[in-house]
Amino acid sequence: MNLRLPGLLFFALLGAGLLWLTWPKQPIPFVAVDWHGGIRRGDQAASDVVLREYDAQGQLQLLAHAQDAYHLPEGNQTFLNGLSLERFRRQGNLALQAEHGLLRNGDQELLAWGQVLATLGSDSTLRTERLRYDPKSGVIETQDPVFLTHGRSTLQGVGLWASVKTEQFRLLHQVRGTYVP
Amino acid sequence: ANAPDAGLGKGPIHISADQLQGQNKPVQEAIYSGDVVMQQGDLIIHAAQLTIHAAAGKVEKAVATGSPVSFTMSSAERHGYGQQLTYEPGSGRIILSGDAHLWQGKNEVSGNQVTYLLQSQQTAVTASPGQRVRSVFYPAKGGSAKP
Repeated sequence: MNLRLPGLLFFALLGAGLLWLTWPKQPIPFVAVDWHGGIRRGDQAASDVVLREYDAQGQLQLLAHAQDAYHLPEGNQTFLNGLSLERFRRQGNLALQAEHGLLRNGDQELLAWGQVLATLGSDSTLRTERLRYDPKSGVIETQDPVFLTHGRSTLQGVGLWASVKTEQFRLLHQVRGTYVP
Repeated sequence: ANAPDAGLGKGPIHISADQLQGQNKPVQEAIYSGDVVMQQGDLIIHAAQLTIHAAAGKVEKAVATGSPVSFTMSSAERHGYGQQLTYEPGSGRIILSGDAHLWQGKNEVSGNQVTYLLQSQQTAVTASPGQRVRSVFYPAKGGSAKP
């Protein structure tokens, strides 16, 4: 009888055995993802995501973390859950955290929603329910109620436009401010 | 008049308005507009627009405009109005300008500019060139009118 067939069979069994031995015993956490109509080619999901972005001098410019993320090629959108990011700047870092985030337009626009908290430098904070952030222009916008603090002083209103770069801002309606010396 | 409130010009400043436009640099400035009400202690200012000049979060000057801008201070029985009001919490000064009028109770002074010092409760009035300052004092019961 020809020896080649048993040989191939032997190596196949050996390979399967090795694969079984090396297979991780603890289950890889499966990212529960709502793929909006089913999984399609190109969909990607990841958990415990850390993104680091560097400038031309190799300095860390942006550090972002998400508990999980999934990318939909259709519309080039990336959904993030449990989002926190920090942009490192000479004049004070900008940190932002939210329950959910959506990167779209080729990562040129970040929508964040769900207990959004942004901090600018060491003593300015912004709280709202939803906001839009354009990293390139540094503009933050929302139509929702916002609550800002600067030291012990507070400001609140409905609707905000702010530029992180020029440090200018507008509150659009129902403004209340308290300056505490 | 009643003893001045020791907290005059001190304590938190509360402001409400329709809109706000603010900046942190080059200087900290906030422009409140639309039915603006500013309060510190019992000093209350009503204006169409109010610009806050601050440094390190502390209000150095508040400039209010309106037609007119008005203020009241119940503790000192004072009220007044003008086209512009400048309030300096640090020095405790209120400067009314542009057809400025200031009352203490029924007594009134008016001129182009009225400066009122919160702590000492002194008042200085100046008139435009060619015009004069006006004061009206009502004799208190018992004959003597107190400025």
